[in-house]
Amino acid sequence: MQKLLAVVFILTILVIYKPATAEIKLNGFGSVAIGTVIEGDEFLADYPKTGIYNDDLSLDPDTTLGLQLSAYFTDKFSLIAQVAVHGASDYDPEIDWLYLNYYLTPGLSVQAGRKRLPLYYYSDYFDVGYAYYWIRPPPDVYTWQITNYNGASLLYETALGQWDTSLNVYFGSEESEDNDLLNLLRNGASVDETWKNMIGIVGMMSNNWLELRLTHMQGLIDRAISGVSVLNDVEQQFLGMSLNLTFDSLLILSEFNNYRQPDNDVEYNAYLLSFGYQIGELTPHITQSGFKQDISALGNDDEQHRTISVGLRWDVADNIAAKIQYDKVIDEGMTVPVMGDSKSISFAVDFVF
Amino acid sequence: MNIHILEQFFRPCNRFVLFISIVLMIVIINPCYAESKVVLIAAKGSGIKSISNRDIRRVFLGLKSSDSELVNKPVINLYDRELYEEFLKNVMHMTEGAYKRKIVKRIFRNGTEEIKEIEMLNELNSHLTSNIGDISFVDNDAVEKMHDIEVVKVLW
Repeated sequence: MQKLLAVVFILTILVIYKPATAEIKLNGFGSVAIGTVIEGDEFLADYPKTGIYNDDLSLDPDTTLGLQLSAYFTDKFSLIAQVAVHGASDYDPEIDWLYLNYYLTPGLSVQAGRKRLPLYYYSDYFDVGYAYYWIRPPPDVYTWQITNYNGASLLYETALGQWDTSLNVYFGSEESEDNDLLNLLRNGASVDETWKNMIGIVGMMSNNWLELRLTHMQGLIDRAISGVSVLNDVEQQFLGMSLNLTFDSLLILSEFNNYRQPDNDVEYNAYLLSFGYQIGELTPHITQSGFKQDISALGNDDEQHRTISVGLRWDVADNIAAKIQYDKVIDEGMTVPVMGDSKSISFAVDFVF
Repeated sequence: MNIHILEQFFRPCNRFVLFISIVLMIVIINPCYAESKVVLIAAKGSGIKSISNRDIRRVFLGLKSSDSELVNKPVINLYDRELYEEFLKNVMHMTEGAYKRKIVKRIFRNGTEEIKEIEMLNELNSHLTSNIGDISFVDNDAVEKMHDIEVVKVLW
């Protein structure tokens, strides 16, 4: 319903604005990935879309194709729309972005419509494999069941001395019926999830060698399992920090997140720490990531898993990268073992155009 | 006899003369390097008076200029691939791969317009003169081959 409202809102604005003179740009991205579990049963490579590898070779869990249409009506006013198909979602088209952007000043812009929920460092371009060196961002950290929101945001970008800085404030909500990830974690029971009254802030600052990102979001959750309400107006809070360093050829990437539902005594922490080294067109990398949610006093489930990933990115051409990656998952959850221990290998070709 | 001459040549005093000669040669040769400057250019009449290297970096990352509202869009000059790599190293402070990934992130994160790349000098000339306020970088020698173009800043 909210997606429909967003579409109607955007179309109304366009009809009023008469975008006959718009400059239209089309960009695209894609990943063709194939992989298999070589030890263990299954590997949950993509939590939100439940992309799962098993002991057969599979193309579906990480394969993605996306198109982004940008219509620049004036220097200040534009429309951004992005549609993607994912193997993990049976190649059904999904609207990830559909928003209007207006520059109030050269540094300050306002957006309204549908956007990616910027909880994590790679949230905005989670599906654009070309933009990072892994085949997919570490799954332990990217365990989000809601990936988009409908609402509005303000983005302020400016330079402070030697630092590029940005501040993004957003407000919105999202409804997800039959949520893929929650259905999987609830053994196939149909789960409807709504995140509402979300208010978030994302601050970034970077210079030539350091990038720091801090984020906070709070809002309310409604959840129904098989039509029965189990959460209603439950408060949730998310806090995240990323610190990325570049020392010539050495890349150090990190991310730390804390999620809480204070009233339900639910809390989890997730992290990643990664090292990459650029040698010409090649970037070997190694990553440790983890997720930990303890059993609470109220008897909520525990969930604990960590992953060690080793991989290589090869920049084949200006807009094409080939990747190979080995992932070893240690699943230590007692009441919620997500997929169990596994070792898997995957190959991908990422491209942008 | 020859050994004697060599000994004389390498006496401390002579070594000093040799050092001064080398320094003078470097100073004399230096203007030749100075001529092959790399400059930031725009169409004549753009009105862009000054722009910091920091702001140039911002603009080539797809951000709006904070130094001047007259600066429009950046254009990557691929006419000279070596010059492009030097520009990335000296101004953007990153490798070609890192730069490409940064731009891709901004395109798919903010809907930022892709930065135009031009491989022919005459095409670059034509683009800049028909898009007042757009900026690019060229070797100083190339400016003489272009028309209605002005140097905004010497980059290095």
